Amino acid sequence: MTKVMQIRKKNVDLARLYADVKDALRKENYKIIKDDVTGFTFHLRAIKTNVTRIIVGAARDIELVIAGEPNNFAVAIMVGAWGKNIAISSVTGFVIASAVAGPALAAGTLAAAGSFLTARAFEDKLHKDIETLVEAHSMTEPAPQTSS
Amino acid sequence: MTRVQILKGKNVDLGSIYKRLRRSIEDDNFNVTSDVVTENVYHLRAEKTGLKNIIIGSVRDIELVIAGDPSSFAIVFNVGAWGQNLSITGSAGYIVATLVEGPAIAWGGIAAAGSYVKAVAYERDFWQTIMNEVDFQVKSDKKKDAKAEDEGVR
Repeated sequence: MTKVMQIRKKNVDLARLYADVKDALRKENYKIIKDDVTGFTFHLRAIKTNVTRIIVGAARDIELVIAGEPNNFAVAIMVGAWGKNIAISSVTGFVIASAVAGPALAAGTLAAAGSFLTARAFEDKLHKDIETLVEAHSMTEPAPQTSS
Repeated sequence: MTRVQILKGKNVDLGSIYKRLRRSIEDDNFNVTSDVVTENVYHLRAEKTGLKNIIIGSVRDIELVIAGDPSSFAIVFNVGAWGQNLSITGSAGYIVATLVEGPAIAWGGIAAAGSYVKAVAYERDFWQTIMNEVDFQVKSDKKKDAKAEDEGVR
């Protein structure tokens, strides 16, 4: 599952945007396992390792790239799902694999399972969060108001 | 100088495109300094080193990122130029700075200067190469699919 977007003319400090996205992921209990920053590219990978999170269809790992310059950059979000390669998961999303996630469910309780977002939903949420952050960091002048 | 393009619905092998672009960059005498490849991201940095290459406005380094999946991906290409932060370079492009590059020219010969492609021109040309590679890959993959279908019918 991948989302890519191009953002133009927003004059965004990409380093600050990236830092905020990382914070957001940490708040979602993701562990950042790769953090590669160059002059124009910010690239991270983050995973959920906790066994209670192993629920088929739930977000398992994230790869995020922000690349470009303040007024013209791309954001790519790739979300991997638990059980992505199991035929059933793509159809049913939240189905819990008995062999793998049974113990996790026992540990985490049914109520906890309900709190996990499917990978697709998480991707959508992250996408929206990033759009919000882009607007928050945008340093473009607001359009002048015309007086009537 | 950065170019960004989002491509959707192409269904191409990003690994193949990246390999071919990398080869092309190496053929242009860049030294690849970083090459990060994951399942969904291809990220390369390359630079031109050597004193004789320091000519204001010429290409100093490049960065290429391809990120996404075959049917939805972003390509980002950035070119850094020598003296990019000097006010003179924006308008003058090919001008050689006497203090820094004078010895380089003396060493490399005036003729050598002519062989350097300006960063802006390089960016434009290589961007075209990238788009050509994507098109090539689209056609190549379509041919493969058609052949496979053909063999399936027989």
